Amino acid sequence: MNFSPSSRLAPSALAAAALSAASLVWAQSTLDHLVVQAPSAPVTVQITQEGAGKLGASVEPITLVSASSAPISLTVQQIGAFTVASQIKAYTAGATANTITLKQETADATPGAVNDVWAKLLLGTQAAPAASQHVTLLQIGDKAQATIESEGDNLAATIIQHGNSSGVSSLNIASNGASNTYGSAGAPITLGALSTLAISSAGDNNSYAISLAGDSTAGITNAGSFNTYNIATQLAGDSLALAISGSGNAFTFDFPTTGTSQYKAVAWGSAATPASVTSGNFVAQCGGSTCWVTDTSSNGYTAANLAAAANASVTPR
Amino acid sequence: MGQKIQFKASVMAAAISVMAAGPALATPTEGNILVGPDLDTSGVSTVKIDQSGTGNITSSSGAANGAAFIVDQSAGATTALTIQQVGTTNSLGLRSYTSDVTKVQVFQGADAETGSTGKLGTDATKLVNSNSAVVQIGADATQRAGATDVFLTQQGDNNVAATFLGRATGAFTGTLNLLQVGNGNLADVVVNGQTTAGQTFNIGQSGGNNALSLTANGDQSTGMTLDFGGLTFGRTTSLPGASDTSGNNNVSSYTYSGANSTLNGYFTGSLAGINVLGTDEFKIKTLYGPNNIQVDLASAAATGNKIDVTNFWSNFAIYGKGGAAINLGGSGRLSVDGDLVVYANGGSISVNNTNFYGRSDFSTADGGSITYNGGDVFEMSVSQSGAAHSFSSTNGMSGFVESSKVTQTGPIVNSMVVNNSSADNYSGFYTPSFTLTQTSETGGGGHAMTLYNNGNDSSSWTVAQSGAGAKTLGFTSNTGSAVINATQTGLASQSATGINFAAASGSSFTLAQR
Repeated sequence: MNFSPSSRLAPSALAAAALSAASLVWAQSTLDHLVVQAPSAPVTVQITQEGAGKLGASVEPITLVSASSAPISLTVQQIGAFTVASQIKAYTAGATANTITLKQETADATPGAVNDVWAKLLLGTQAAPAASQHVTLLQIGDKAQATIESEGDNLAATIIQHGNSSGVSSLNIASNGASNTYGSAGAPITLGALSTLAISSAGDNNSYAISLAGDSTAGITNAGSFNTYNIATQLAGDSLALAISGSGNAFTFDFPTTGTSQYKAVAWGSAATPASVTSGNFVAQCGGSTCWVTDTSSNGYTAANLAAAANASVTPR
Repeated sequence: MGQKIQFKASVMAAAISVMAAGPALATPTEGNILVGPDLDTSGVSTVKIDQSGTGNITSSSGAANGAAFIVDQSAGATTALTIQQVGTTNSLGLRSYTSDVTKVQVFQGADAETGSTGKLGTDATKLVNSNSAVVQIGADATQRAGATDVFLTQQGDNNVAATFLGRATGAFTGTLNLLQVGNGNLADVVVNGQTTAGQTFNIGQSGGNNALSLTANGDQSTGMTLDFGGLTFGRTTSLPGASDTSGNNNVSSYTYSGANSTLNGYFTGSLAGINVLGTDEFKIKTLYGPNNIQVDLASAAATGNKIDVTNFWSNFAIYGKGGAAINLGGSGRLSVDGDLVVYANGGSISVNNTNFYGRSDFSTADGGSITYNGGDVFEMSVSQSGAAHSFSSTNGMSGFVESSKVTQTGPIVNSMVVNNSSADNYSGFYTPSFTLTQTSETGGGGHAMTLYNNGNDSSSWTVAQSGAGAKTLGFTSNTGSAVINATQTGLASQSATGINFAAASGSSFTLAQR
């Protein structure tokens, strides 16, 4: 076709200049509404936000709903600015083997730089529990806040926070399902300095592997049974508060034994004078640099006894 | 009183000049009648007939538009036939039964013909009305089609010109120039069986509320060119000028059942041509192809112009300016087998229920909107620039979709709605792809893009939004699988809302916001 009109569109140059300028000033990026519902085949979602990003909203979180066996994969990477908080909310229900990866980092990707990143994961509800979810959360920067609320079984979570003394990060985990895995021996939940960890576990057969940085505070409320906690501290001054009920729960502590960062104390509950770890039915044992506490109250022990037993202090050899 | 002259079969002199006139051209009388059919111009090089007055008739029967006026009983002798009717309600019926006359010139109007090229007057007081001319050159087997130059002009209002050129077994090999100046004129041009390459038919109208009907029948296997409008008249002395652009020509239609031909329609601002203004419309219809058709719209700053194209099987180009609205398709599905180029400057393009089986290229500049509703898309490209503009396929691309590319560039607020509703009967055979771009070099205007995937094929989407203004992106995939890669970059905020994968199947969504 060789038409040669006198008035044709002159090709317009693309906005190369604008693209170049965009790299100098961070823009506001938002993704307010993402719903993946009941796919019949795998669905993959990848989100990258650079600048002041926001993903989802409290009234309408990013939603992944899979009613079939088709998995959903959500991967989010946020490289944030310094002054505007990022926000991620994800929700899954009824899916099998969904994968959620959230990575939040500072603009210069320097661990510990001032930043405000905030993530909240709602994994299932009682009416529509999530199952077999694979969750990875990486937050690089201070003032990171993460909340994971899980209703469902067989969750596998990998959580890493990097922060330093200039900010306070927090991680809250509320898990009501069973057979969930939060961190593993090889890839524990890792928190930066001055972090606060709160775990509320009401289900059974869950496992937690946690690595605390210096001057961190960890509080664990366990209401289920046969849960396993593997807790390592890195610096002096960490505090650990446990409120344990249920039976057959196992605690393993890994404390530093050398240098100036030796582990000092574990506040086992809130009692001013901790009871011996051997009281009640908790047994604390140490081997090498590792001490561990075992709840032997597999049968017949009341919550009161367990709470009393939880008032313990453990000191490494 | 007028005069009645009955020609008898006779051998004419070397030159025939018939004056059947009233007292004067300025005060025409009525009822001059020149009756055929037995005019034998054999051996005559020039025949000139002048009639002035009201109700002049030149025909074989003496009735208005009646039968035929016979020219030349022998072959090839007459070199020029000039008929001039001055006054109102004149009629002419002309058939070139046996003539291979070199030139046939018919003037209806108040101006005298000047020289062999003739001219149209511009003096409004000389524009006379309600004339009719029916000219047949080789229209049936009894007629010769050998005229090389047919020039028909009408000046005034409510004139009717009808030409029937050639037949299936005998092509008209000459050139047609048909000019009308005035208002409410009708030009009906029918070309049959054209087989001679390179033939040109020039049809021009200026004034208001004129109607043009072009019909080409038969397979123009060796090519033919129809130029209509005001730009390419063969006689430069007769071109309507810019001052003749009064617009408001009424329904113009082109019915084309031939093939392998080129139609050029020119509607430009510098030359009058046909201006389709207001709520009027211009229709083009083709039955067979391939043909090449190009239409340039006038630059008149009017809105509401419409060009309706139906049953189109040819390569086609429309260029619009000045807010022209171009509508393609309609209640019946339009098919475009060839390539299509549509351009509107500041105007709008609407495509309805149309199948594109070739490349289709839609573009607007300086604003304007493009609306696409329904039909197959083989390879579509949309380009918009300048002032605020929009593209919408809200009602979907309901046929098969192979490739669709939409690019919007401009500093003002732009919007894009793309709905893939591909529903071919061979699910999985087609893989619709969409490349959608919104950019702006300067200014703070934003971009809005809303996408829907409702097709039954796996589709791929590449989306890019950039520029200084705010950008929004919405994507809803209801059926079928979709793979979408989207980027949003720029100084201002970018947001994605309404990203929905409902009952998605094997889809992926990748979004980068920077």
